[in-house]
Amino acid sequence: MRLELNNLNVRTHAGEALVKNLSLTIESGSVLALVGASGSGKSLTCSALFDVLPRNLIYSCERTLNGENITGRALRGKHMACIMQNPSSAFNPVQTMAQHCHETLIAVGIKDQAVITQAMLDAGLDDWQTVLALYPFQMSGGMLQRMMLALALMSQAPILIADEPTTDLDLVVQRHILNRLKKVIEKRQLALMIITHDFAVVAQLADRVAIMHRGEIVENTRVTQLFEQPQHPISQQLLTAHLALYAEETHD
Amino acid sequence: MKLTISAYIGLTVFVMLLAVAVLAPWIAPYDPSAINLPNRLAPISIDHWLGTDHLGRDVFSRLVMASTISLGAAFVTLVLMLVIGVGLGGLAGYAGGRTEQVIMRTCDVFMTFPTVVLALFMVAILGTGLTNVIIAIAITHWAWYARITRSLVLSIRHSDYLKAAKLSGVPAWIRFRRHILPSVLVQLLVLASLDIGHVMLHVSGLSFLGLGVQSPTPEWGVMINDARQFIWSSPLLIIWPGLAILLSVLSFNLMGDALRDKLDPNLEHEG
Amino acid sequence: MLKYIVKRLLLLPPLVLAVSLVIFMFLRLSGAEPALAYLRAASIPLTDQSIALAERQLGLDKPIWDQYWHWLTHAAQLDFGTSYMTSRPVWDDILYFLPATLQLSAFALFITLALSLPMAVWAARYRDKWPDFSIRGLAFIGVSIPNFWLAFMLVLLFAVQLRWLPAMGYGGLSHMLLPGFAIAFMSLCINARLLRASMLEAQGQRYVRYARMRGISERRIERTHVLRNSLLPIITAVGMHIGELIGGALVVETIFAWPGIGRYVLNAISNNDYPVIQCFTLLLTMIFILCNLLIDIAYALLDPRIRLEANA
Repeated sequence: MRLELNNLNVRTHAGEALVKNLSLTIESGSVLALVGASGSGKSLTCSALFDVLPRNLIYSCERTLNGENITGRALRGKHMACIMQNPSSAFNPVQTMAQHCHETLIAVGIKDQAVITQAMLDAGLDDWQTVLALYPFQMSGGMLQRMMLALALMSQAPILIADEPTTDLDLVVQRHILNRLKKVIEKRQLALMIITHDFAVVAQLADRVAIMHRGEIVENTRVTQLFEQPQHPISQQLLTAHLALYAEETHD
Repeated sequence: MKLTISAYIGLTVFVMLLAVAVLAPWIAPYDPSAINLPNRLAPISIDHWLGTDHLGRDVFSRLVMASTISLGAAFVTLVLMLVIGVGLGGLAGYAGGRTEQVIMRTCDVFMTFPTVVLALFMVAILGTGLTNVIIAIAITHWAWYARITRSLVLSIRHSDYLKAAKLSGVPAWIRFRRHILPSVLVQLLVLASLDIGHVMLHVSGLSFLGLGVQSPTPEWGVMINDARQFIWSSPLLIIWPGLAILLSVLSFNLMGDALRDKLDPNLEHEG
Repeated sequence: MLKYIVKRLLLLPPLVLAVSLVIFMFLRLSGAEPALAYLRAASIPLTDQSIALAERQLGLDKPIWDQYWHWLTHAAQLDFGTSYMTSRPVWDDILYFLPATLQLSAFALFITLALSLPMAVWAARYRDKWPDFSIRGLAFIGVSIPNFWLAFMLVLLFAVQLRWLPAMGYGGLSHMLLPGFAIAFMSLCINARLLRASMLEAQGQRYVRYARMRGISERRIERTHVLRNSLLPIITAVGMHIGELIGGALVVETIFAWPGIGRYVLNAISNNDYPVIQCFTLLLTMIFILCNLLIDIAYALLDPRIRLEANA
């Protein structure tokens, strides 16, 4: 499974370029991390992939799945799934988890309800029967994030995009989610792109890393390569800042 | 100040109506009460631009003179509503404590009555006539303004820039006048302009029912009532005054929308 | 949810009491003279004797709080006294005419909801295109049009010109269409605007975007995500509509010779028939309060956050 995004350009109506000529590749067996400071355009890239950019932005790109051109629309759900930050506002407040599952399966055309159970177990929701009857307001942030993962898994999409999935969660929950993610990708042989600003996450999960700055990818290498010898000044800056933060913390 | 086309239209129509209402005695070609039975229900002509009604009175003149009464009554009602509502609401917000509780509970009680029912009740006990209709409608609507004014006063009282003023030693009365009053006034102006159309509809509605202005005084609602029985023979008699009401309320609403878009875009509205 | 409902129910008795107090006190303190009104309606000459007698018979010589208590306790037993005009028990008279008005108001409510929904959905779906502009334009005119005048215009078009519908009278659907629509039109437009705004706000929510990313169809999103969430706040607005619709029915009935309570009450007003006026005001206000309570309960049932008692 190989997804290529080529020449993504996103700009505002006024002409300001938010993402410039961006290209990246996501393939199974390899985890890609997209890293950058806030405002670098990471989330826009994710939205553009799915073709869900806000109406006031203009964009163009090419998506190729296993060599064939494909639209963002066609990718949604069936081939590509997403988990995002701030899961509590991503769920319909008047729908139960069961209804969320139901509509997801209808969207991808899966009739077998058993995939729900398996997906929820893989995502770490052991008491899945109770959870299915719950409404979003009855669930914690961590539970909702696992539910998002479950929804991504049950659609049987081979590609998973994780857009800053751990940003709002506390550190303990963060670790659990990331561990869970790692296990699930291995088990189901998924392709993963994880968008983050945290190098700890990169170190834990990724094989390759792309550094974004002001709408462009400035460096795209293997993770080990980046940590040992970052080429681009921006990468160096980000790494230094990250290490400095950790250094301060260990000193105290 | 840039305005949308609809705002310009609203403003133009409003100014025209205002002019007509103020200059009515000079614009009306005939005496609106001049009965002329031989010429009753006459069609449109050079002499009578909109024809005559069932008593031979010139419709155009009556329409024009009625504008003074209809528009005037709406404005007076609005002012009365504001005086009562803003007065009590402002007092509640500023005084707090028992006063606030009493005033707010009173508001709640008045807001439980359906508008028309309360208006009919007030007219029933006060008697008919334009003054009483004005009082009746003001009584049905003041509670909303009181509520809004109180919450505005409260939110401004606790706002940061007011605290800054207090810290810098500015006395209470000046604090109120300089900081609270302008904000409150602007938001109230927006609300009032959005509401005046509604008020006008109620006033003409009660007059239509025969509870307001009495014949022969011309008023748009009364003119529609007078013309009811001639719907088969002279439908235009019903159309003109209604059109006048529609036009007025439309222009008020257009202006209200424009004011709101300009002055208080944060106000919740239907886009 | 039970807590929510009980809280609402507990507010009811003091509210009803306050309403009855306002009605009674305003009447007494307004300078209205029930004794004179009674005598005039009964065509009894006004002498000092007859006035004194009438005052005693109507209990007007007692202290005002006693009078209030007397009226209130009797009202609770549905005894509102005798009409000055008809000399029949007020309750019987009002009960005779009220159903017709309620029927018309209910029909107007049905029109309001049935038409405003598709209008709003259409306008929100084609936002900033022609369907949206035309509906917004129509709605704008709708909130500016006097309902009694609209009634006449409808009669002119459909009864006088086209002869499709009857101009007046009581009956089934064909008799209810014109008055119902005249009454409903303004509320319909207001509701369409409200719902459209609510839908546009729901459309911008993250859960809609997330649903789209999962590949869910636009139609399904509109139905289960946008509509379900945008209809909730509208439910409380329906309460306000009911008040306006009942009021509108009172006015418009007279135009169509619809045998409701409107004409009866107008008669009572011109005859200063105070028992009737008091009963009418109290009863209709109670109906309004009750409708609002039912709507609050419906809202509590439909919003899972209230039904299952969410902690904020």
